[in-house]
Amino acid sequence: MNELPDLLKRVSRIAFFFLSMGCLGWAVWPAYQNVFGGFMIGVIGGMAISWHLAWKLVRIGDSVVSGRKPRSGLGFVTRACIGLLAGVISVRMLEFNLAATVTGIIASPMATLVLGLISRSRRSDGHPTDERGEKH
Amino acid sequence: MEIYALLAAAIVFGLGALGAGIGNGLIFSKTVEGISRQPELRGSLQTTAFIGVGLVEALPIISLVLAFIFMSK
Repeated sequence: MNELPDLLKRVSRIAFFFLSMGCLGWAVWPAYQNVFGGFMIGVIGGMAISWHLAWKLVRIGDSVVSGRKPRSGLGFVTRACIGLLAGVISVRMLEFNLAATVTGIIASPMATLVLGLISRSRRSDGHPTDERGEKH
Repeated sequence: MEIYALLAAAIVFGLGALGAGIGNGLIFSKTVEGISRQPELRGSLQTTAFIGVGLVEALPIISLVLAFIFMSK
């Protein structure tokens, strides 16, 4: 069973929840608009990084299964540039808060970690043995 | 002062990228090895790699953003 699209969908849902919280904070506390604005731009950048990573993983998995040599790399430079673009737009152009932007960028990887650990523990609770029949 | 800012940015991003390169190499080599050995486990291996790579790459991306922002101030 392919769990990656399901995990990506849940991570995107949490990122949209963070975005809605940022919009709410932007509207309710006008004095902290630079914090909430930076956080929202960081969350958008982190979500783009997660989508790009999942796309690269699927492409590499396809090429490995079909026996071909992967033509492109892992795309770390692209993801780093997405993060840099989010930081530059937020801090240099719109003059939002830097710490809030960085927090927004790492929100998606942290959500991925928490959701992945939860799904792994649920799977090991429901199935005490793995595919080979060995107990964990 | 500017040369120290450039040096600090280079050290921050260089050390972050060094650790991320080693971590990414380990994760993807084991993932590709596992998929080629057992293609039916591709879904769970890709999910594990997604979690690991997302965490490993978070630090150099943050260090790159901080380095460029502090360097350009």
